[in-house]
Amino acid sequence: MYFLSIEEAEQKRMAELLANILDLNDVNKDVILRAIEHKGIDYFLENPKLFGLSSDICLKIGYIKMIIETLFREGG
Amino acid sequence: MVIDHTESFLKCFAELTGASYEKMKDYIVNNNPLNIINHPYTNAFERNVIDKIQHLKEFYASYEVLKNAENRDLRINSTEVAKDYFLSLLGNLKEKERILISYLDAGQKIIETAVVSEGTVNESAIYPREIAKQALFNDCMSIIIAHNHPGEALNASKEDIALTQKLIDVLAPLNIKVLDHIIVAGKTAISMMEKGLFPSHDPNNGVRRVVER
Repeated sequence: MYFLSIEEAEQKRMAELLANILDLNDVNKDVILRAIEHKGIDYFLENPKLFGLSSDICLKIGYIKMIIETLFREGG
Repeated sequence: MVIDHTESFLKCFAELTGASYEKMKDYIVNNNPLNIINHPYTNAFERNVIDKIQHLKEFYASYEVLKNAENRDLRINSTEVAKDYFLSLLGNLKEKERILISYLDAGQKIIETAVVSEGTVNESAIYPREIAKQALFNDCMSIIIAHNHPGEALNASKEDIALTQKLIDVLAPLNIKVLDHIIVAGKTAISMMEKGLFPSHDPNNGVRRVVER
């Protein structure tokens, strides 16, 4: 049994899911988890280059941001 | 529903998931583009593409939960508000069971909502004394329990009722009320209080007394 805030639980889940979508290794997954924890998901999606991720990964994160924003706007 | 910038949406989607751009373009002539995410099987994509789309869908669900969790001033003053709130947090969680507890102040405003367990609802997953410690730490007046049924069974199990009973009995001497236990199944939620399945406090902490309406 453990106590996690909703934010912590979802941040952890989002990092796991991103790792699956982007086929990331554990090191990059850890980078993403820390980035989301410290700066929030919106900041991370907006500025992936600030966290030392490769340009290929950053490009794909840009795609995810675009898709998420569309779904959020359209109530998907 | 028409998406602005549909073209770039599809291109991003194709790059990210490996889904065929041409197939999607044909599909959206007669269908809502969002169906590509919401109902990926209708496009007969390959297995690995569908997996990526499912992950993307779950990622979006988590994003929505985070956005909803930002709403800290929420006051849970009715069963309907409680059901809506926990639906927004648990409604899209399909792969596992998650147990949440909201700690409320005297005005039934949420002090904190915490994930207390992930897995199954049974005695090994939840330790009432830990919940009591957390309730005292949060200086709350009441709590609401909620969990999801990934199988989408919209009913309270014996274990759900037993867990509620245990928490009521542990928290009652501390003057902390358990207000309700919400069960979320897919896109719907039930309140054990509303359904007449909510146990009353048993000072002997032995025989369970379920109030049947």
